Amino acid sequence: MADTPSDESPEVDAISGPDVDRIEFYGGRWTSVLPIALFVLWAIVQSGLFRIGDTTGLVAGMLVSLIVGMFFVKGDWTDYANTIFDGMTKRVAATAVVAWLWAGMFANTLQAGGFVGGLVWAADAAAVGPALFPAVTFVLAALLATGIGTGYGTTVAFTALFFPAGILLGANPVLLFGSILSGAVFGDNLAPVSDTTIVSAVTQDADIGGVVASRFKYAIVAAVFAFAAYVVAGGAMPGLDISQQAQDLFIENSEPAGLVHLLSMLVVIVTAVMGRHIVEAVSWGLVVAVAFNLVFGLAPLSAVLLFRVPDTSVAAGAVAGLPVVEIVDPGNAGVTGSLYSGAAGFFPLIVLVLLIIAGSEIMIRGGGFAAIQDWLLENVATGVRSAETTMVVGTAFVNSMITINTAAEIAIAPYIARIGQKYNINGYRRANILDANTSALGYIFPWAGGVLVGFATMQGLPDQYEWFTEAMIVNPIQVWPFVFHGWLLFFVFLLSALTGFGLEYTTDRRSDEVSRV
Amino acid sequence: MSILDQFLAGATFRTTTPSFEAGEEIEVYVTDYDEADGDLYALVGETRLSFVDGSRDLVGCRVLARVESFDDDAHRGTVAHLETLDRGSF
Repeated sequence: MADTPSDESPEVDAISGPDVDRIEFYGGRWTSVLPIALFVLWAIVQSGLFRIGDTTGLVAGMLVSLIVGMFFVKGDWTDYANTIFDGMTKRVAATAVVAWLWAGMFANTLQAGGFVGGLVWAADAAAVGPALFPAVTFVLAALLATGIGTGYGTTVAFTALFFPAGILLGANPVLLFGSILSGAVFGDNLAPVSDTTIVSAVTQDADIGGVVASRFKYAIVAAVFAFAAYVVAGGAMPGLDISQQAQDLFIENSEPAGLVHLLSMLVVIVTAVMGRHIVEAVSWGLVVAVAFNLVFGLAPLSAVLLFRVPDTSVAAGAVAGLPVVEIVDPGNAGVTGSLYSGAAGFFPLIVLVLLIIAGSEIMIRGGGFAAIQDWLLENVATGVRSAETTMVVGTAFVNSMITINTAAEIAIAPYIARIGQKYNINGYRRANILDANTSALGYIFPWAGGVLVGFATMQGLPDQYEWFTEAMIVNPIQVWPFVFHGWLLFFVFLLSALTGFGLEYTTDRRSDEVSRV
Repeated sequence: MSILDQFLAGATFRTTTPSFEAGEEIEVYVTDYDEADGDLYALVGETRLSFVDGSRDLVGCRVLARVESFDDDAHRGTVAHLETLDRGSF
């Protein structure tokens, strides 16, 4: 996922074992796929066909899909209803929500402090033109994601900060969004503190250090090709036609001072690498960012948080002098600032994701997952090469269906262990196949959490910059071919499975116990 | 294993039929029990190692075993069960 680092043991127990209530459907266990399948169809029609990128519209789609699914349940519908509750209260869902809220506040505060202006200044000074900008963005996003361990957080930060800078410099928006998502995939896959890395290691009985070291060879091959692809595509794909006047004005007014927020980012990376929880790491970054904004005069406190108190309020007179208060007409009352808008931007997405996790849980308890896996085991995984290919394709498929990739990974992990152990495939190798495809496919399709969170962030940009119009927002359905690192990682593993590159058996070397990490 | 070795481990094209030497001690997951000929076996890739002892309860377990004999051409061998290490995940 998206993934948030955690020093706790991941919820491997979230896998629905045989002891949980099963749901029976008319038409058999395949029918349990219906809510998710209907939603995917809705998402394709709404965002692909109609070109409406409204997240709340997708929420309506998921609600309708969950209701339709209920009519196919045999017997008492209570179990179905309760499964919706169980899915929505899963810890992985909460983990993603927390990562988005914190990353949103942090990125917006950096934005208020002129970080984008600083980036534009730096890119201009270093002569990084529009052609190179996506490739450079990919490398920097990959570094941040590897440092902080959250691909979703990286997507939020880079879409809020690098995306507008790149657009202004003339980079192609779709390609640029793809490069941000690619960086997030790289970090999700490789970061030792990423949730997906931890889940992959724990579920396949391997230690995290060994898992990270052994997956480096695949990640770096994919990354080198992805970088080259961004350089080539950056030269070939034109940017948007932004009014030259607005562009010149912004570049002229871009000051290096905002670059001080590189230190705010460094605080997050260092605290995360030191093993602190992501909530703690980002909170420290946020404190430092607010302090920098105030000390260096980059933004006033009111840009971070502002209560617009109506003049009719009894307290109006008493609080009028406070830096976080503005007295306004009753019609303009409200709360604003980077903390407010940074968090609020994710509210529809949070609801959507909780509902999608509920739909996935229905698919798990209804046996849809088991049906897919059984079919694969009986018909496809009949030798070691085909077993590995099944592991790659199966993981990719499940991750393309379930929005939060950590949730998808937890659901498929037992099957990967079972198929792999049948041929004594080493735990490191199993963990690598599981995590690479989990990371990659979580950032490609229009309904993937990574894509949606970037899209949600982008929708806040027209309010931030006068020159940024609605037309500059990338529709989620446009970006899938351009997440180069995601696709390359998938193909690297497909080739590895077919050729035996990187294959190790349990007899070749023993993976250390997880507890020793 | 040095750090460099950890990064380079497995960076080869591995065969589907690995070989073993008699007397070698290995850790394997027990793959299945063949009802027809009463054979308890572990597949390492597509190399088949049959247990000379041990019950069908071991299916799915990670065990320590000693290679008793190995035929490199047929990719088959026999192993003796030494110790059951754990039940295997899931």
